[in-house]
Amino acid sequence: MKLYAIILYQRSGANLKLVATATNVADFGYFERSSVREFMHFFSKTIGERTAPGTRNAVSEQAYVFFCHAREDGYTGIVIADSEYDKRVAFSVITKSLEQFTAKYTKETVDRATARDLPFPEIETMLTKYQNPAEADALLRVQRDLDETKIVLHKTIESVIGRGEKIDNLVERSNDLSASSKVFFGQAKKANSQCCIVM
Amino acid sequence: MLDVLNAIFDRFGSKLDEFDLVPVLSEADAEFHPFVVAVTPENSVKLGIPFQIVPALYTEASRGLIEAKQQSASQATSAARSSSSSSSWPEHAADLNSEIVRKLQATSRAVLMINAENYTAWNARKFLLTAKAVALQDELLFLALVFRKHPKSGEAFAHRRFVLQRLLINDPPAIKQTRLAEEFAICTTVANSYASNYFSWSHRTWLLEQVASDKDMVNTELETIKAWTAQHPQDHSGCHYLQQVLLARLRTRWPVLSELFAGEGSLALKNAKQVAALLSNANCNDLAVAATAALTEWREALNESAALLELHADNEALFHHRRFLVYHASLLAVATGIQASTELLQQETTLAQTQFAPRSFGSTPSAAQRSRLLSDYLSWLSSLHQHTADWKL
Amino acid sequence: MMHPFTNKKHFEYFDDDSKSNIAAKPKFDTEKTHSLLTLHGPNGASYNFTSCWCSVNRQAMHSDASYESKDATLPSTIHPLLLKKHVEFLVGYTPANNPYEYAVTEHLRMNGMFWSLTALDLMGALDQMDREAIVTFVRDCQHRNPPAPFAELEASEALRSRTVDASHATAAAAASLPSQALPNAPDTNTGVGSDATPSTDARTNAAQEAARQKYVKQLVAASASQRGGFGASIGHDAHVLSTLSAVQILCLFDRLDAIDEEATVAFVASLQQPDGSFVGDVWGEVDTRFSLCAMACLSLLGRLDAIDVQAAVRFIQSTANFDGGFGRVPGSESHASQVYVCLGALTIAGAVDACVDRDQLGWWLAERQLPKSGGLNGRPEKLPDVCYSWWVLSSMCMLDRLQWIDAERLAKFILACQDDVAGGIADRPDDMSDPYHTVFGLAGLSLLARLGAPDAKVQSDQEGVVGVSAGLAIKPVNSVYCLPQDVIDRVMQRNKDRRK
Repeated sequence: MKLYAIILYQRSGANLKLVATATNVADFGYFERSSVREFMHFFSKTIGERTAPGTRNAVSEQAYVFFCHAREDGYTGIVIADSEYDKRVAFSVITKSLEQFTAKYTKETVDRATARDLPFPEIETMLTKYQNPAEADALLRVQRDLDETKIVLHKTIESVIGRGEKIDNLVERSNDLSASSKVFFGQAKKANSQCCIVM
Repeated sequence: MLDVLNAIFDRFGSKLDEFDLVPVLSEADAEFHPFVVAVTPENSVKLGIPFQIVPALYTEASRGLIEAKQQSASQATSAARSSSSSSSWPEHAADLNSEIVRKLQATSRAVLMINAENYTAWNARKFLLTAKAVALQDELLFLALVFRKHPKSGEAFAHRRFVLQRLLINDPPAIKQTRLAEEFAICTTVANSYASNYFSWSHRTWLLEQVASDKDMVNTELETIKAWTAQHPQDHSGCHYLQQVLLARLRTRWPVLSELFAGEGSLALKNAKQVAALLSNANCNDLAVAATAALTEWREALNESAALLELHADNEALFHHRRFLVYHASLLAVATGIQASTELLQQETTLAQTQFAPRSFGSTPSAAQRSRLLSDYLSWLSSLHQHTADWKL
Repeated sequence: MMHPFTNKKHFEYFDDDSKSNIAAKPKFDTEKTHSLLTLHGPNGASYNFTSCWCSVNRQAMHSDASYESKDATLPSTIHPLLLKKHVEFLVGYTPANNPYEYAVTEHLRMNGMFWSLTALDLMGALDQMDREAIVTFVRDCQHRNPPAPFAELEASEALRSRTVDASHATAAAAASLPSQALPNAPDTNTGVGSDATPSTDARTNAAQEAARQKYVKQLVAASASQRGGFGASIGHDAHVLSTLSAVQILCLFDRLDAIDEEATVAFVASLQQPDGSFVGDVWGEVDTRFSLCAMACLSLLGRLDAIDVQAAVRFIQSTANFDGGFGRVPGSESHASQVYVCLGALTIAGAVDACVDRDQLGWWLAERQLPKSGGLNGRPEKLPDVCYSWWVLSSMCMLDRLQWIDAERLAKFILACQDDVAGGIADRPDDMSDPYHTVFGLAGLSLLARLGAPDAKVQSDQEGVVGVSAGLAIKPVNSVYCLPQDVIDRVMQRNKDRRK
């Protein structure tokens, strides 16, 4: 049960603008961390841009799940967790984060600023707090009747990005990813099949 | 490449606490800079090995290892003036020149960093350890390094037990306690990096046996593992280990219960006979007293499990853990000599049907999963019910 | 009598068989899988249900594709059994084609050869391999050096200093010394000190002396007693895992005469410990896997008499858990592959009924089948993997409970894991194929064919069948040894003839 990131965006046209982010990459290897952080943002944005306002998506990618809630007003929140993390809790965390963010900054302020100008340390606190199963369960007890039928489940990122598009191509074309992250991506795909030899 | 790697280990030694395979952008870079070394602000050292050089490095090291092994065998044989050719380890490390020792150390190290399942490479190190060419304490550090990249290597864990056995035997109690505490911590780190890690939990069970008589350590373990399973509710290996700690605690507090729990595994064949024998035993009264007390304590674990299942009943590991708790509760109940087990199982059935059932039946995937697991659980309960009825006869 | 499942077919079935033991019935019905235990106690007696039991229709949920558990997704098209592709894949699996992969699997070479050769034999294509070259390689992997003299080693400097250190150790530290902290010597006749208590100094010293002696023997063993065992490849150390693979390969080729059988028997027997367990090699790690390896090896060589079978059985029994499964040592988690090795060893010892509740364990195994993909996992909350088609199914065969699996769906899962381009079978759909998953996928299909549909015989000689009858194109496999049944028959006949 791990929470890796909370990332908030504001929609402008077809694009998303990053407004607040908190990530936890302590579990990853020293050499992987910067690539992992880049990929978290890259995948989040890719999914967020393809989530229609007013809907919720949950996208599995290997051991990770990206939960995305796009609000009608254009604010979009993403939570990245492992597959053990309860989805009802994940969506509650998004709701809470967006509520707190919009209470702190008006739309006009956000329109004129970048994430750097919008300090939001509350999101870090939230990331730590809901790492704790007791806190997560407390949230769940209040929130347990979330209508799960409205969440669209995707087995892979490719099923979100739709026909004709390959994630490999998106990765290749991206300006947000460094060259070494792109190499990492290729290697990670190759090393996917793990052996389980018993005797 | 092996020489460079050796130089890195010689220079940084115990500060080197992590290594990984990293990308470099071109083949030319890989040839020019075979290794990447980073020193963090905390003064720990991280080693990066480019993906591109791994095949060449492994081939060189594994060939070198077999070669060094054969050299060591033939050198020792000629020293002993024996005529037989040998592919086994020599019996005198003193016979070996330092060059061969160094080659064995370097090649086995490189091999194992890439492939921790190569048992012959671990054997080379066991040989070096028994010959005191490598210090046991340093080997623990090397193993910790290997676990960073290969958390689920059964061979690495077997090697670690080999090293620990030799250290623990000479440790004074205080040091032994610290060492075991550190060892538990290593298991936690490794378990965090790979879900349901059979070998790390199996290793931890071995450690638990080493401290079984130390009530404080067992209690600390219970708190640690409870927190861990709360964080990893789907990890059946973690749940299984929690079960071992719970049983260890019961056995230490009420030794008479050991007999009741002995020889698990067969509902029909073993326990029926065992329970009957125990109940007709002269100690029957002691057993009943102990079982009553233990059952009271066990209820705490049952309540914790029920609270978790109510929230997360689409989790198979939690249901299996409940089976464990209920199975032992019913054994304890039978030993109290009353109709307690029937009552207990009937209550459990009612509880499961009301509290663990999906709230909106059939409408979502997780509700379907929940119904399936609940139905399997209820079937299991009814089967247990039948068996305990047999025991009482 | 109430039935927990509100399904007509169940009632009919139940009425038919209420007096007989369901396990004896060869017919297969997917809906029965998990309800059997509740219907029939271990004595075959059916019993009354109170209305409190859950009434959920398992079948209805099976057909609901939207499960949200850890599971694999099957592709939309599933190929029929691609025998020719698999033969090509295995025959082409050479160092030249996969140089690095070959190097990193060298420590598994003997096992790898066993997987590929068995798979080829199951497909009737063993003659495509160079029999003589393989037999020569296997023979070259046997360790032949004579044991080293004991006295020389005892004098070793390392040991002396160890003993001095140990004398400073306190009584408490020594308490765990003889039985726990020291590796068990492969030589079992130490006999001293294993039950000593450290209540006095004298006893402490005795215990330490015993431990020291044991340690000396361990070192001797390490240097010398690889003799007779097989390494995984030339230059690799002897281990019981590769020793079993070597013997299995020689059985396939009917060439047990090519090796020093007596030395092999002696090596394997030397691995047994006083508690009945087996170490894998001279360095002392214990695992129930090694029990099966040792017992399978000796029974193939017709020399089970070389070990204490009763003690071996007792150790295996001590690794059983409350859920009916087995682990690698006492107290470790139940795992489907450990269940296989333990049941295999108990089957060889003829001790299944004395040690195992067939229904209880059979049920735990049947629960390994995942609801959506139909594949099997090895433990709760794990992904399905083709290799469990062997570990779980062979175990269910040994328990005579194979009919509790949903065979059609499992067969589909295995077929979905085929690589239709390169050949071979992978762990899950769309992953890379390898010889390990190929043999256990094929062997699993062969076992499923035992449950084949009535008209399956007609289809048996044609490729292109998706489902249980696909396995009819594969030779029958023996569920204990993972070798073709005709090979086992031949080996057992050989042993019988030799005893005469």
